[in-house]
Amino acid sequence: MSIKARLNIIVFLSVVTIAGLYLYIVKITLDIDQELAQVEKIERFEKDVFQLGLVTEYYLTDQDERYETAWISLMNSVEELSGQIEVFKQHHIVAESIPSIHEAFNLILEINNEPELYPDAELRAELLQRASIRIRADVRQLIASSGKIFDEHLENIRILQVDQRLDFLYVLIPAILALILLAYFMQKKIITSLYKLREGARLFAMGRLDQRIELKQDDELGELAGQFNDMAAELDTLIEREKLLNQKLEKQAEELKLSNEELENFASVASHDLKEPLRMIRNFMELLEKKYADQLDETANRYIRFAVDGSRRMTSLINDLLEFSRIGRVYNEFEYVDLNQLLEEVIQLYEPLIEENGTRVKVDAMPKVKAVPISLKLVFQNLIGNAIKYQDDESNPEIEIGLKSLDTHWQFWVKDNGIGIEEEYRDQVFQIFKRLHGPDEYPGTGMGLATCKKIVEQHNGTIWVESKKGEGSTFYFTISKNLNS
Amino acid sequence: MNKPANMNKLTAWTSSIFAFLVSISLFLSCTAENRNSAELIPVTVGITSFIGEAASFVAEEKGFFKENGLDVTLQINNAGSESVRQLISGTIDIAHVAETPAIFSTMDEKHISADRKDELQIVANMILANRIQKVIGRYDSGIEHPQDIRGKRVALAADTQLEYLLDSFLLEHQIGMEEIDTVHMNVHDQVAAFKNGEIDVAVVWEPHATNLLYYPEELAVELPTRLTYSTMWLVVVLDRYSEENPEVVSAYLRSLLKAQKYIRENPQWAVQLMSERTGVHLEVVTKAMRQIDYELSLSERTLSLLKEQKNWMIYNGYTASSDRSVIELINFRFMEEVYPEGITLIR
Repeated sequence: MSIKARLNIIVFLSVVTIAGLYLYIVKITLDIDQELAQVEKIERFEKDVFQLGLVTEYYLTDQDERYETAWISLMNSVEELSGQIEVFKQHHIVAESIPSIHEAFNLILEINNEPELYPDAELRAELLQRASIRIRADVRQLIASSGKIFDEHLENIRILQVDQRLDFLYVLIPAILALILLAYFMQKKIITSLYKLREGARLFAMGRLDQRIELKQDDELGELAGQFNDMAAELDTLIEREKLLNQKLEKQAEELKLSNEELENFASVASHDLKEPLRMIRNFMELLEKKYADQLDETANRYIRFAVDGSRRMTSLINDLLEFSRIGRVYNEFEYVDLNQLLEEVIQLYEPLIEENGTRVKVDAMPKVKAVPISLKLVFQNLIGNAIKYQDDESNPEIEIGLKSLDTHWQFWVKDNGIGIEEEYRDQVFQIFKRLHGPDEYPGTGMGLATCKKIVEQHNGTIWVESKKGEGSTFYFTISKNLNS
Repeated sequence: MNKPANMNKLTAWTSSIFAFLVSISLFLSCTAENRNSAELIPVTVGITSFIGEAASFVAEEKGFFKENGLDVTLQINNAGSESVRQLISGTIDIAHVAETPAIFSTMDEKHISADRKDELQIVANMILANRIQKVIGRYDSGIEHPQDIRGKRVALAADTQLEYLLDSFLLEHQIGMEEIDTVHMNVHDQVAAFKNGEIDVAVVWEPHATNLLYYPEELAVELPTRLTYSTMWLVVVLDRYSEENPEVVSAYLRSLLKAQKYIRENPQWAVQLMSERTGVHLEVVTKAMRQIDYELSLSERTLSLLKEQKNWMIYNGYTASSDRSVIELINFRFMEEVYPEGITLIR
């Protein structure tokens, strides 16, 4: 049975008990009132009968018309009261004595008022005597009976009052006790169930999802326990699944890390080892050009220049690749960096080009931030270098380096008024070896922005570009304010 | 080791208590048996087979006499006057009578045997009723009004209260006793005599009155009187008996009191019993018993009626004695002991 149903039953029983007791009290009170009303009438009846007896005696003595009138009035009252007193219906002697008195008195009246009907004086006297005795006997009987009935009614009232008190003891107290017990046991059951639920919830919160709440009862709490158990089972399954997934991811990450490390090692080793033969090729090609240029035709010389230029670009590429592989592997110590000084060094690096192009560089005041100094320098170096490099010939380059402090990150930007980037290439520019222009147009290896992206991610940040073709570009990047080695 | 010892002690105690209880039960059952068989006091009661005797029949039927230690034999007579004679002669111990035979026996010297040493005493009145005695005439005898009974055969059970009733009836209607043909006949015989036309007027009590009036209807007419007569049905004993056997008289009244309570609580059952005991039709008994209150009493009414009887006896010249007060006939002792609430007589 549900808790709601049980509560409804308790409320219903309480209402019924209270209503029952109320009705019972009302009934007892009405009974007592009724008894009191009857007692009052019996008392009046007894008094009237007594007066009737007296008036009968007065009349028998004086035959005064006043007594006759009084007698009739009293008899009417006695008859009326007799009809109103319920209990008299069970006492034949009372019911029959009244007409008996009436008839006897009528006989007396007849004898006195019409003596000619009874010419024999002796007979008349005897009849009067018998009639008066008749009345006396009945009057006395009525007084005795009504007095006894009066006493019985008073006793009834007393019993009713005692009953009323006893009923309060016997009915009200057990009823209240029963309700209290019912409420107590129900409360106990609910509290016990709640404790079990609380304990179950506590275990679930502790991660003991293999536990189950043992509450096999057909009510809301039982249903709630079932739902808790289902939820725990579902969570258990999800967590197991997540664990497996995490394990898989960790394994994959580990594999990826190993693969990256191997790849970086390979790139480092390869680029390092390639540099020497490449340097040798370029040296010998330059030597060949120097010593035998006049002996070779123009085509051969041009081929030699191509080879020298290719080996030079190959060297740059290998150097960039080597730097790229060092990020996070070699360059991994975070420390506080004075960005004002760092930017000054970078701008100084590009000083000849800046002067040559008439570039205007504006730098906001920079804070000290925690970062890998050489990596962050590479970022600014690449972004400022690109800003200087990707300019058309007609305009004077303008570069603006800014900063904004966010809640958890520092946000930097390098803005230029260069050639800009078409929208479709904005994401591609951060890919390794991705170039939007030929080496003749704008020299480079295509590693710069990829290196920036890798460094920014090493600093838990992101990098993006906002640009419009022909209107310049703004490269934004963020680094975390909370970085540890 | 202690545990078996305790258990043995417990078993011993239990056995002892059980044996003790069995002994007590056997003793009590033996004594109860003895009391039932040996200690019941034999009492013979003279009664009249009419509805006023309901309490006697109920007490006998329900065993209330035995409950009170009495082995009661009900001696059924035709009238209370017969029972009084048996009481005086010593044939019975207790008599149920109306006030007329009681007063007759006390006041009228012709009813008192010369060698009687004991006075009769009234210990209780058993019923309260008016109008259960009636004067009934036959239509086909030309009787419709009281005056019509002149010259008719009027049956009368002598020495009963019916004699007083008829006397008052005649007085009220100014009919002389010599103007009617009086036929002495007990009440039971009057019923048959009235129905077969041997008598013209019956003077009877219930349930015979109802029997004559309604079975068959239109045969009889009740002749009216304004001097309604109240009926008492008295328990009387001799002085010596009440002195020697006070516990018997008290026990007897207690039995009647219980029977009356039973009648009030089980009226239908009582009607059925009375119909069987009196041989009167159930409907007749039902109508008749509705006119009676079954309650032990000693009231002013009792005294008034006794006085009325006494005056009547003096008026008719049955006795010259008026020295003894009628209140002296009443012994209050037993009612005071058994049912004091029933005493409303001023002493």
